[in-house]
This record gives sequence, structure tokens and C-alpha cells, in this order.
Amino acid sequence: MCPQKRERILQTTRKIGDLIIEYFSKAWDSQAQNKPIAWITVFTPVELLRALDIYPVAPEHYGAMCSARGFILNYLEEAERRGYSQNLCSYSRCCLGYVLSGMNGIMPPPDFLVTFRNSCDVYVKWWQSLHRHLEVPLFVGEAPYVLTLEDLENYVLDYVIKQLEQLIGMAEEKFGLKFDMERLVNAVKLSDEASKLWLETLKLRKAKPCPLGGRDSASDIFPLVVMQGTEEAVKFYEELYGEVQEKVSRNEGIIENEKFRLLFDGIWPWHAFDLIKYFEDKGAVFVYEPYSEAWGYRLNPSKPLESIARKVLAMGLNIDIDLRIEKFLKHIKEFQIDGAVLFSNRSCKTWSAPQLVTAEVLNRKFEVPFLLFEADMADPRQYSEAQIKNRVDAFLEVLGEI
Amino acid sequence: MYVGIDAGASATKALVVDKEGNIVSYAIVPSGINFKLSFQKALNEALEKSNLNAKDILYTVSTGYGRALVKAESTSSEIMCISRGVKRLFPSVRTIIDVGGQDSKAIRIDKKGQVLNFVMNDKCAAGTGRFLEVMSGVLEKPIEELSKLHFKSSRPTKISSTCTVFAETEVISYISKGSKIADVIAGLHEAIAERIYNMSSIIGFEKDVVFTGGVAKNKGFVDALSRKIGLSPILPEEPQIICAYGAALAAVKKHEGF
Amino acid sequence: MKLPRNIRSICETPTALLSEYNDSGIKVIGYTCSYVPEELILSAGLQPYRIPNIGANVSSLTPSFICPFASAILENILRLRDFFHGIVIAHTCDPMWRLYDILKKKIDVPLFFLRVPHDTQNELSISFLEMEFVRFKKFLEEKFRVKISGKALSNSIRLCNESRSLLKNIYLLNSDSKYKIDASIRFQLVLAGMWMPKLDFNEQVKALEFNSDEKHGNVRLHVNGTAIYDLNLISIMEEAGGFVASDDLCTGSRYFWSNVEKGSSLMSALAHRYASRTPCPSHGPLNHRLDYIKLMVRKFNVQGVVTLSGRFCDPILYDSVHIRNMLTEMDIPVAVIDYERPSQEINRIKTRIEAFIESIGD
Repeated sequence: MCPQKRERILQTTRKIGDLIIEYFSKAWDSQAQNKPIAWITVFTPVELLRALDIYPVAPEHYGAMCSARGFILNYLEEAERRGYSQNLCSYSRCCLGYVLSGMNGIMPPPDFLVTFRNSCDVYVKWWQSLHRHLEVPLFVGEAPYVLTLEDLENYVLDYVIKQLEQLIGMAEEKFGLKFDMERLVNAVKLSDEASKLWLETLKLRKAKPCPLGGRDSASDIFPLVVMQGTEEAVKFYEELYGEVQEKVSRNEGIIENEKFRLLFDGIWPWHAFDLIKYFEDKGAVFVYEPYSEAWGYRLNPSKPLESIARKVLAMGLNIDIDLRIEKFLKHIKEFQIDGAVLFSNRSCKTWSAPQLVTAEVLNRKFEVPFLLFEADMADPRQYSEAQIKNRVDAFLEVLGEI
Repeated sequence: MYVGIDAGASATKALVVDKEGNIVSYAIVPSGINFKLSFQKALNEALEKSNLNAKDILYTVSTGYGRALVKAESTSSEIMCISRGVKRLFPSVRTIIDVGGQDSKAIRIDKKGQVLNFVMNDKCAAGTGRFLEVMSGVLEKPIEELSKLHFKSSRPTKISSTCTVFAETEVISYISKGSKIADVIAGLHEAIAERIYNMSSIIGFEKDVVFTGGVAKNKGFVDALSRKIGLSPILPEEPQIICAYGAALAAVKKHEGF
Repeated sequence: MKLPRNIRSICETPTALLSEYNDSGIKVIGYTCSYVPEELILSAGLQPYRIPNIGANVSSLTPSFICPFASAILENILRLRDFFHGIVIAHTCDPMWRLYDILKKKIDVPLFFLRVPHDTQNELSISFLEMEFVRFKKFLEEKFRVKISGKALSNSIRLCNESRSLLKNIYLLNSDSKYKIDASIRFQLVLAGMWMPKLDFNEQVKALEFNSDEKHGNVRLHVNGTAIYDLNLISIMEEAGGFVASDDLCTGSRYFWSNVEKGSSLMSALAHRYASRTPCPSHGPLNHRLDYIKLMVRKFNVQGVVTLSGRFCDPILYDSVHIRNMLTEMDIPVAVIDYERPSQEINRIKTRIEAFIESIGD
């Protein structure tokens, strides 16, 4: 098989496409059965919604999908025509544009809007805007910034648990639903199982050559984004783990000629998967992304609400910078990382704002070279291909000389 | 003989070295819009200066914006070429600041002589030679004069716009209000120095600092940037050819099989 | 009417006041948001000081698309760090949140992050805010080796309530067609109140005399936005024939509109006051905010609304769509003025505002 033509993607990853279609089709089925659909921001407790028999849909994923498949522009332009600035998060512009143009796509309209402010404030502002356009019940949850690990045990945790109870109350009242603790425990068990498998799979990337690359990790997160608590998610990660473990035992890397092992900080720009290929053609493979790891979080089925509350709090960006840096840096050694690629994402200010400070630590303390490039995760217009590739060339040449 | 071609956005530089890496000759020509023509012109000039012809060349490496359009055996990134060129001339270098016609770069070298990190400003004219070109037009003074007038300033005007377009308007308004040209020029040098300083501060400044690139020929700018960084830089005799020199050194390396 | 010279000079160079504080041995706590309870700072014997964005450039530590307002505040903190004995950052919005992260790695000054919930109007959030205030109180007591007594807190509350009432009364004079106060003066007073020692401030404001013969432009405007320290933005509106009758700025009406009322405890009362204030773009349900703007517009007979929007200010960028839609339905003209760095773009902003005011005047 000709090396350039071989697609560097795992067999299991190829199943994601079908999984996504199934997931949307089930959403429409739910709607047909008069079960409420909730639009959620990710890292909202999907397990809880399943216990209430509410079907969760994530517009952020929809934005990623539209961008990857090349049909996001219409939605972005519609939102901009209606007054939403081009400087706003592209996921939100895609979603608002979708709503304002009549919601004629694959994503079903919501009956309920649920968000937790853990990734960013934009979540709340975006959901408030949706509420103005759609007039369905809105739940805004607060996930205070975790300053020390104690906050996962003290009044901060309490506050989140009480809000989860509020969410249950609101759902029961507005939709005549009945919260089922057994369903929650089951969902938590399955979600934990899926997380466990995903985290174990990611650990296998320590192997040299790396068995799972950037293209895979970008897609493989999907079941943990909205399908937590389902059997299908567990099944997917079981298969994935199996395939990856097999590759490790055969000493087979995802790319043919592994020269450089890289860390990627950020959400991959969905419209630019060919950039991953550009790196890989030159022997550079992505072995670790904090973004991929963030989706796996262990839960305790014997303390379901408490676990979920911790998960809401502890999502990647919501933890103190020193704790984040510590985690980051641990991986440099363990995964034998040669260099870091940092994506300064115009749409994700909470991620990009402190990036330079983190990069400074990387470089000064660990002497790891880094490459910084600016673009947008979903808006294809904010992407300067020639300039970015020029920087990549220089970066890889630098790594080659070390 | 070995050749390095730096096909920059503003100027194309061709440089010839011998197998020990000593500079034999070089030429600088404006790039214009046709790299194929300008590279040929630069190469011919360089060869003529040293009484060589094309068949004396064993290997060519190209770099710079238009490197793919130049006839060469291989290409190399500007970051690596600049580093190579500077290291060869000034082994004590730890920080390089390169300001070219349309982009600027900062490179950190570690004590082993390897590139530790780099940053590039390739999006915005304000930290590049283009900024000064625009202002040179507005003030109706050639760049060499800008450099001289800089030192006649007693109080540099504060140019607050970071965008070349807005800065242009600011300059015009200062001149019309009667500000001294020397002060405005010094202010412009400070503005571009500040931009470059901000871009580079993420990688830190350690001595010895070397300035390269066409804009390093402008003593006024060098003065502004050195004061901003707080370190006196080493200035190559011809800062504009350092990148081509590094490409030529790469050519030697590639051909001799190191 | 003219402001006392020292208030005027403080507003011209607010950072000069910092060296005065230092020289007199007064310990200064810098803060960034109207949700930080000045009362607690005062009760610890410390001087609260609101950190502006003026006088500083954008920091090179943040990418170009991060709100220049927040980035300039970062730069100000970095260059003025020696004048502060403590810095309090509130979780106002995303860049301010990350300012805390960056500062944590960059300065040694005692730093506190106040976690203000986004939805401040539900009891659960108010209880949480109270816990955060308690944590803040502990921080002040530990770092500055003081014990904040109930009496000290009571006194501070009384002092701040007085400041706020004084400012509110001046403000309300605008709804009376006889007396009018220059908007620039009103805003200068608010800012001075955030920088000066409270006792001094209250005394000076009480001693102000108001002239009923002020001449002003006709077009009554409401200014909508976040925090504005560059008062040129306000004065150009009045120079262009407008009159800023009301506003919903953090450095305007929202700072003083409500007082601390009696509560089940001092800390609970404090939390309730801060949480139940009129919503800002970053806190509180959007609907309440829109209602508040509607109320202001009616109460002050507003003819046009100017939204001052930072080009990268997400909360305002989302809100301004709905504010514009609402006002359009009410047949009230609205202009959204966006900018990155107002001081550099003042001419362009002036042209836009002149055009807007002229179009209403017709």
C-alpha cells in the first residue's frame, strides 16, 4: 500500500460517522415520542438528563460537525446578518444562525435549554440568547472555579449538588417528568465505564510508536461528549481499546515513520484535518491532547449526584492554572514529548488567554520547543493556510536539528 | 561552490560560499512579482562578482517566502537559515531578532547552539520593514535619512496606533500640527521596536543578542530596539544576507553529506 | 458647576493617588469589578481602589483577540504592582477570569479570586456569594493580621451607603427638567468615589452646589455598556449636542443604585445587596437587564440609546443584539458604537455619535 495514500485513522474511528447519525436519529425518535430534547453545553451532566428521560443534544458538536463537513458558512453568515459579531465564538454563531434560519437541519429543536458555566461565560450568554429566540425553559448552572482540590469536597461541591437538585425539580415541574434514581445510577455506571476505557486507551499512546493519532482522538471523543450513560458508548470504547492494544502488541504506530512526538493544546480546527496530515507526512505524530483527556472522568455509582457534581466542577478549564500546568507537564515526560503545538483559538478565549503563560513555563522549565498558531476552531475564514504551514515547516526543522 | 538563495517578499538575496563556508560573494535585488526572474538576476550578479559561472555550483538551497519557485536542490526554513548564519558568525549568540520587509522573527538559541524556540509575526505590517516603508513615503524621506534624523530627536513623539494604517494618519496629524520631523521619526522607530519587543518577549532576551534582516541596517531602529530590550546587540556587517548565508551553509552540509 | 480641584485631578491621573497612599502608609487593595464588596475592604482598615484600563497599553501576555480592556487592566496591574498590597479579581467574564490565572504566575502581591455566580438572582447563588464573601473576609484578616469586627463592618456599610445615596440623588436630578448636571461630572464623581477615601469623598460631595442654569444639548441619551474609565467617550456625546440622561454602566448607575439593607446578618445583607443589583452584561438574567434598560429609558425620557461595545467584549456583543431588537420595537433609535482602543479611535467614534445625534434631533 502506497504510504501517502494510506489513511492514518483507526478502523474503530471510522464508526463514529454512523454513531453520529444514529444519535441524531434517536433524537428525532425521542421527539416523536414527546420526550423533551435538551440543548446542552458540553460538560453538563448528561447522566442526569438520561435519568429524567430527556434526550441531550450538544450544539457545540453540531458546530464542529458543520465545520468539518463544510456547511457551516451559511449559519455563520445568517447569525452575522442578524447582528451577532464575527468576534463571537463560532460554535455559538453557527447555532444561533441555525436557529434564526429555521432549524431545518439534522439537529432537532430544543424543549429545554441547560447549561453550566464551567468552560466559559460565553455558554451562559449564548444560552441566554437562545432563550430570547426560542422561549423554552432555561436552566443556568454555576460551576465555580476550582481554586484548590478542597473545592471538590467543601461548600463549592455542595452548591453544585444543590443546583443539580434544582435542575431535577425544574425538569419535573416543567415537563411532568419523574426523576429515577436507579436510572441515574445505571447511567453513572456506564458513563464511568466508558471514561475508564477511554482513559486507558489514551495511556496506550505512551508507546513508541504511538498507536493512536490526532485524527483519531479528534473524532473518538464523540461518545463521551453526548452519549455518556449509554451502552453504545461503552461498546465503542471497548472496541477502540481492543484495536489500539493490538497495535501496541504488534509495535505498530498510526504513522509509518515516527520522528517527532507532539503535544497539541486546544481543540483541533475542524475544517483543517489536512493540517494533521501535513504534520504526519513529515513524521510528526500527536501523542497527547489535554482536550481529548478532559472527556474522561471517573464517577462513583454509589454516590451518583456527588460524582456528577465533581465532574461538572473538574472539567479541564475550570481548575486552577497551577493544577492544569502540573498535569500538562507530567505528560511531557511520560509520553516522551519532543514539542508542543499550541492552537490560539479565536473562539475559545478561556483557553487562549492564559496559553502564553503556560507556554512560557513549558519552554523555560522544560526546554520544550513550542509552535503557536492562531486560527478559529470552526470558522474556516479565519485560517491562513500558507502562513501556518510555513510555521510548521520551521518548527519541524527545528525539532529535526535537536 | 555552494549557493544559498533567500527569496524574500521584498528582496531576493543570493550568496556564494566555498566548501569551508566562507563567503565568496553575494547580491541583493528587489523581488518584484516574479521570483523566477529575480532569483536568476540575483544569482547572476553574485556569480559575476566572483568570476564564477553556473557550472561551478555544486548545490543550492533556497529559503524565504518564494523558496518553492526558486530552482534549488532543496529548501530550508528561514528560522533555521538565520540561526545557522548567525551561529557561524557569532557563536556566542543566544537571541536573534530578524526584521525583514514583510515579517519579523525572534529566535532563542540554547547553550548547545540549537534553536530553543521562535516566534513570528507574519500577519501584521506594523512590526516589519513595510511599516517604515509606508512612513518613509508619508514623510517623503528615504529610509537612510530616517535613520540619520532619528538621532536628532530630543523627544520622540508617542505614536499610539499599533496598526500601520492608523499610524499613518497619526503621523500626518502630528506633522500638520508642527511636530519636529526628527521627533516623529524617533517615535516611529520606538513604535516598531515596541511591537517587535512585545512579540518577542514570550521567548525572553538573553545576551548575546544579534539583529538581522534588512531593517537592522537602520541605525535609528537599532537604537530604539536596543533601548527597549535593554541589551546592546551585535550587528553583522551586512544583516540582510545572513539568511541566505545560512541557506548556503546548509547547501555545503547537504552536499558534503554531514 | 465645577468639581473641586482634587476630584478633577484625581480623575485626570488616578494612578497618582496611588503614590500618595503609599507615602501616607495607607494599604491599598486593587479590585476590578463592582461586585467586590468595598465594605469588607474598608472594615479591615484598607483602602479599596478600582483598577482602570487607562494609562496602559494592551499586554503582550494575551493574544490579540482577547478583550483589550481586560488586557490593559492586566498591564496596569503589572506596572503598578508595587502600589498594591492586595489584588482582588472577580469572576466577571472570561478574560477577567484568566487575568487571575496570568497574575498568579506573574506577581507576588496577595491575590484573591472572588467567585461571583453568573445568575445572581436566585437564593442558592446568593448563599454561595455570601460564602465567598466570608472567604474574602478571612483572606483579608489573615493577610493583613486584622480582625474584622461587626462594628467595623457596620460602619463601613453605613459609609458606603452614604456615598451611594449621595451619588444617586445627584443622578436623579436628571429626571427633573429644571436641574441638569453634565454627564462627565457625574461620571467623574462615581470614579472618584472608587478611588478616594470614602470619608473625604462623602464630605466633598455633600458640599457641592448645583447650578440650575446649565445649558445642554437637547437629545436625551441613555448609555449602555460595561465599565468606562475613558470619559472622553461621554464628553463627546455632550459636545455633539446630546445629553446623557441615564446609563447602566458599571462605573455609572449600577455602582450606586442600591444600598445594603437590613438582613439576617451583616454578611447576608451584604451578599443580598451585591447580588440583587441591577444585572450587568456578565451577571444576572438577560431579561431583567432588558427590563432595567426599559425602565431607565422611560423614567429619564430618553430619545436615543448609545451602546458602547468593546469589539471583543462577548457579554456586550451578545446583549447588544437583544437590546437593539427591544429598542427597535419600542421605536427608540439605538447606535452600537464598537471600538478596540477608544483613545486611538476617538475621532471615528465622534463622527459616528454626531451622525446619530443629528439623526434623532431631526
